[in-house]
Formats: sequence, structure tokens, C-alpha cells
Amino acid sequence: MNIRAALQALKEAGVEFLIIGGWSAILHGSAHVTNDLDLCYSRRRENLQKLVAALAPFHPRPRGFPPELPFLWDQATLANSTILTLSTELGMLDLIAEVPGVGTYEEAIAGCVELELFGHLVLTLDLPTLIVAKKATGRPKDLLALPELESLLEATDDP
Amino acid sequence: MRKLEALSENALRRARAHLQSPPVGSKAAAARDFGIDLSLLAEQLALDPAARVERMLGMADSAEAMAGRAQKRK
Repeated sequence: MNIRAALQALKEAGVEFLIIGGWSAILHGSAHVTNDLDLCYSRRRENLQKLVAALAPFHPRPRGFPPELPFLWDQATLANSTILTLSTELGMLDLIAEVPGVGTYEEAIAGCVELELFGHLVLTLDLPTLIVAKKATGRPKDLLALPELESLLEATDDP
Repeated sequence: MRKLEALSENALRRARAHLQSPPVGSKAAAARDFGIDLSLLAEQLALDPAARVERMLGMADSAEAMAGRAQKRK
């Protein structure tokens, strides 16, 4: 995943998003390699327009979607989806409208921290909120990440 | 908005100590017993968040390169 190029494109377009999933875990100290970039985005109309424009040059298509079938990457597609697992020329990108157990982008902001990454200010879930999301997702791969994340929280918690 | 930054020296010292010798009954002790290599977490925590990403990107690139070489040998 070319995370640098993805973040640059999104930030330059002014997209409101936050990093969730495996890359959020890495930002907090996880040692698990991940292939895809998971993002939660604001579903405000203006933001959907920006998101569509930012990713269009990288030709997003749903992963596993037959290549012979047409796929239209536009605002309507985004507006009608709550989870899109995309293959792009930058790598695999998952767009999630609502973080399980946490809520929409606007609701998730309260459980976020800010950091500078590749020269851009970006948001990611804070560690307690990431743990809540992983628990709520409930997939085996998310549950397997919990011992590591809970250890990190315990080790970095101020006494 | 709170910032995610590198741990202070004191915080890093505490985190390392916790991960090197997790207290009985702690989450870290359970994770170690589950098979998590806590020394890798300590290494990651010694970096600032952006450097953690850079390190994992390097590891992902190496893994992809190795997979590519293995594929060619088949």
C-alpha cells in the first residue's frame, strides 16, 4: 500500500477522514504488518465529492469485482455504500462510513488523536477507541489483535 | 485535539519495563502467554508514530519482495 501517496491525495483534496484499522494500530505501536489502509470518512455531500475526486486518478474498483463488469466511481456509489473494499493503483483501500462501536466520522472525532505523517496532519483513533472498535467488529482477525493492543494501552497508560 | 507523539523518556522506560517483565495477571502477561512477542512492541514504542509507520512499510516491502522471489522460483 502506498500510504504516503494515498494520504497526500486525500489531504490535498481536503477530504475529511481518519485512519482506523491496522495502520492506526501501527501508529500506536503494533508490530503487525497490514496490507490495506482503512479509513473512516465524513458522509457530508461536499466531502463525498472531494473523496471521489481525490481517488479517481487511482482507478478504484471493488476488490474481487469481475474486471469485465463496469464500475462507476462516483458520489452516488459512495453515498449508497457504508463499506467499500477497494483495489486501487495505490493498493487496497477500505472506506468505512461508520466505525463499529464508535459511530460516524463526526462521532468518532471525539475518540481521535492528531499526528503529523508524511508532512500532513492526520487523525487516527486513540488507542482506547481503537480497542472498542476492534471488539465491536468482532471478526477473528480483529479479536486476535486485542492482546497486543491491550498490552500497548497498559504499557503506555500514565500511572 | 490531543496529539499522538513519541513517548517521553520516562514513559518509554516505564513501557519497556512493563513489557520486559509484565506483572502477573496483566494484559501484557496474557499477551505474552498468547504468543505475542512483547519485545517487538517495545521496539515500536521507542519510535515516534511516523517512524513506526515507516518501519512497518519497510517490513511490508521486504515481505512482498520475498514473496515475489519465491513465486519466481516455482
